[in-house]
Amino acid sequence: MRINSFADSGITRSAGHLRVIPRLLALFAALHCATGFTEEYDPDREASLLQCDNLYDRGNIDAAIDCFLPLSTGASLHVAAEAQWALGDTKKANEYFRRAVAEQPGNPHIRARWGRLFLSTHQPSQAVPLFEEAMQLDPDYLHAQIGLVAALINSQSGSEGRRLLLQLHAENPDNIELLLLRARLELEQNNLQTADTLLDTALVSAEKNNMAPLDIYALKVSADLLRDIDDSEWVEKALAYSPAYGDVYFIPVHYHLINYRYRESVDLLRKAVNVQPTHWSAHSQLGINLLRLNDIDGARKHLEIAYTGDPYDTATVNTLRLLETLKDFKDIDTEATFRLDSDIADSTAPVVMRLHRDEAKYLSPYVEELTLKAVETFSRRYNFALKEPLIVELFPNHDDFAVRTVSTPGVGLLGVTFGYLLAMDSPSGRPPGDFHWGSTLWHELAHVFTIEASNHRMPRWFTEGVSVYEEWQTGPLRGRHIPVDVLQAINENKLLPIADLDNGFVRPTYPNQVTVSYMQAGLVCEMISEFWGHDKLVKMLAQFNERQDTREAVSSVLGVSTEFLDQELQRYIKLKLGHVIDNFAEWREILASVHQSSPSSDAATVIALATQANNIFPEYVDKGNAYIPLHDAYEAIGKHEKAVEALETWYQFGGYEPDMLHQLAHRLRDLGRTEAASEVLESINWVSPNSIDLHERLGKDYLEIGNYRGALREFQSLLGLNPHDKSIVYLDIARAHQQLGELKPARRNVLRALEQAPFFREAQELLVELTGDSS
Amino acid sequence: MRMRSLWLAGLLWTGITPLANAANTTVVISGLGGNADYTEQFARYATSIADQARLAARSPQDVILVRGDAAKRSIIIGLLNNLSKGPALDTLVLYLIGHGSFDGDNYKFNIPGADITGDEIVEALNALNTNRQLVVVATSASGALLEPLTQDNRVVITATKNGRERNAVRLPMYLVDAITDQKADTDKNEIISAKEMFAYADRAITSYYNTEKLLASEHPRLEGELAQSIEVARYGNLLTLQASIPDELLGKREAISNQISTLRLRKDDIDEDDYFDRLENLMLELADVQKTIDQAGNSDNAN
Repeated sequence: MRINSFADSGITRSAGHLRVIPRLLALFAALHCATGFTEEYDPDREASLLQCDNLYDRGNIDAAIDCFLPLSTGASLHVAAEAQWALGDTKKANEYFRRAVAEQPGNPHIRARWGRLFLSTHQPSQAVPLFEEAMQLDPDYLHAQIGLVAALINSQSGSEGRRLLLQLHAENPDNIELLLLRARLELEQNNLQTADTLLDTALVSAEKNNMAPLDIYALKVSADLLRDIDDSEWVEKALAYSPAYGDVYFIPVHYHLINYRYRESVDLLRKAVNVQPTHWSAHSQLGINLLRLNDIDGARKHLEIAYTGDPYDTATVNTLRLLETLKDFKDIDTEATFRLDSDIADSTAPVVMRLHRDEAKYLSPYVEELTLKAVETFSRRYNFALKEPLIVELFPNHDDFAVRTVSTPGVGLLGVTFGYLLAMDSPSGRPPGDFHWGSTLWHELAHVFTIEASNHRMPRWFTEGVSVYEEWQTGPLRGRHIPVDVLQAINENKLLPIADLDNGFVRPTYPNQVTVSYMQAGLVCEMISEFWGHDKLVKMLAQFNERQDTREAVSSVLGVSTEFLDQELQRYIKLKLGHVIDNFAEWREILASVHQSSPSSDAATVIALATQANNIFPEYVDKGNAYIPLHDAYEAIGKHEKAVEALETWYQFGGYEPDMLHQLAHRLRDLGRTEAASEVLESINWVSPNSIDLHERLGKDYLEIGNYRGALREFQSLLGLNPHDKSIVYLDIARAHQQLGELKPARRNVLRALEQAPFFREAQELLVELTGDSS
Repeated sequence: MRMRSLWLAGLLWTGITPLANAANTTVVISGLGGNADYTEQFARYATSIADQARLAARSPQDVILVRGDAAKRSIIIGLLNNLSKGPALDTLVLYLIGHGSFDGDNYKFNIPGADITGDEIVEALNALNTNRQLVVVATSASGALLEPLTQDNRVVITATKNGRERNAVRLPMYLVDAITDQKADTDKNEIISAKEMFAYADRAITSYYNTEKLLASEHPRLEGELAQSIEVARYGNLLTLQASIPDELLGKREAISNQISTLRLRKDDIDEDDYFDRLENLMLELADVQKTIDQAGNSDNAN
């Protein structure tokens, strides 16, 4: 089973001898390092392999190839597997390991190495059982234990992996691989001093054991980089040891990327491919990150180089395919206007909307409206002027968006911001009503400001917190939308101390902790704004730009400790959500009973229970709310006004399920409340704009209530959806222009109507009226 | 000759249905329902289609409806044979409503007794002496007939894209909606063409499956260049006042309409403002004639 899955993974294929050799070294770098490092730390490695490793470590590439080749077909199966692996043919390596294990079933070393092969091809779930089997054969077999730790760290069980790592390291304080794994985690948490200590210990150990120090040097460069030291002495040392050691630049890139520093990543990756032109992974990453900076041509160039060297790298292949897909997209230029507090006149910033051709026409008016409003709002609120064109990409195919984001399909994200470029699912990328795309766009646009205003130096919790806070405060959807499971986590005191809140995003310890952390961060920012003032958030951004961490920024801007802020958060939550937190169990129980009762056959019960649930937590309007059953129950007993009232309250609190909104608008129109109906329909544009009925109805409502600009937007959008009868739409556009006194476009559009339908009496009459031709 | 073909091309491109009074011979056949619901539905759809055709027909004999037990193999083949023996027909419009089947090789239209095969249908239609044909096979698996039926001067509409779509189809219901709902008439000339009927029904089917969140089990198809020029229904003044509208006015209306088609063909070669200026003049002229037609019809009607 494992073998099939491995063979089908698409990551590796058998390759002919001639094709393997040119890509040897890059694959060596990309695949040989099972734990993300260049070196192998196999204590039982055969001397023949060590000899080849040493040639490679010293940059003698051709000699390394000549060394591995004879071993790859030699008599020893596991040595042949290692050599094939080093030469980049992981499929053959897998086959040899399988046969070696069958030949020596009691050998833990071979199983552990086989596990490492899976780990190196990003298949930790396949690696774990092999490590466990090796540990059954020898419970103290450290190479398997470390492999297991690395596999767990790279899987959903990250916290368990980290716990095991600390335990193993305590038992084996001088093990280089453990020291490096720990140093890497410390660097990710910006614990530079601890990382330094670990790396210094590793250096001593490497020297003592006569091991190549290249990985240690690369992490030393990473630590310097996190201190903003650009000319690290460790680069020189590494290149002196191995002149073609591209990893000295490639490994540190990870620390830029986790801090959203794509420009700096590109600089490092350029250096990596300069010293090691065959570092295909570096070319691939360079292409991917150039694409994040909107350099499409540059991205294509490096991805094509990467593909030539390693056609089986899924990130490269996926991103090249994405570039082909982008040919179906259309760039629409517009301009945002904004004014900072200190400015006396408006400034402008170019905006590019990159939308799929099939939906650009109907979607662009809404993307443009929200983006321009966001730039105006956030420039003012965060006192930051955009310095580069803002690129907004919306993907109708979720997997294209996923590849755009993390180079692989199947991720559960909605939107991502790379700085001045943001990418997100288009509303058509998910089922209608599945997400409020307007809020997602607003959230991502807020990131542009926090990321750029702090020069990518803000902590994760802060940028997410501000985006969530802005969704609640200024976004296109009313209300604070906190999921039930987050309320439950709050109720169970699962919130993290603010100083550690980043861990909730990058190292979650329970299933929904990322969502909980988003909401907690939003509440923290909201609290800071309410208790201390919104300007303090802006000042904190400035402090982050000055390289202060959370503790320092909180202390210098708010004058309090993060511990005090934690206490204040409890008070704030009590103040804002106490009514539901204090009655959480009761509310959930009532809500469950509401949904267990039938609104049609047991309307009285549903009305009583739903009212009770809404009294406890009236703001709850998301999935499983009590308003919809309340509406249905009132409908069932013929109390239509009460039914409308229930829906209206739901809408006022931020309900956004499109079918219910359509229903509410319809009922309001029937009651003669066209203006209210149009407001409800307008809100659907930010959830599910891919609807002919919506734009047709809203356009006509706007015509009726005299919102002619709104009507024009709706009818233009309607045309983008290719309605059955365009002549009616053009006629309505002509009428809106006529009402605005814009007679030339009115005539032009009535002619467009007649172009479609020359015998259209109403259009003929309007044409006669507009031209004054009464003959 | 060149002018004529240019005009014809323009007509197809611009999507305007010619105004000449229809000279259709319409045959509507509803097949075996298999159960009471389908039997009733098929008969109702067939009746509605025939009723609508009769409204615009020159003579009641121009519309033939065969349904229920009458839809036997011998009767259908005999009917088509008889049509082939008479004088040449201008336009034959044939609707087959019901269930169809396809065994991988042969399509069959399900009727009481022995089914009629696709080959028999094709053979009978090929034998007819007609200028144009519209063949609507609104049955399951009807896509199997798309290719065998396709030929010059024939428009073919099927309910499915191939013979493997075997579920009962919704196309007949939407065809009825199309010919009775003015919304299908997108060029607003009070004539619903085969193309407009198909476009309306096709959209309605797509919308139905999308709204119901069902995997679509039917994908209607249309083949044939003449779909825009074959009339399937008319309404409004053109229908109610057709007898009282002077031919001269109708001719004038058609002449202007042809000029519009020609102008539209040249749209890409003309400066935009110039194009719309010329179009405006023609449209004003057409509006004027249209007004006269409406008034003429109304005044005659009042007398």
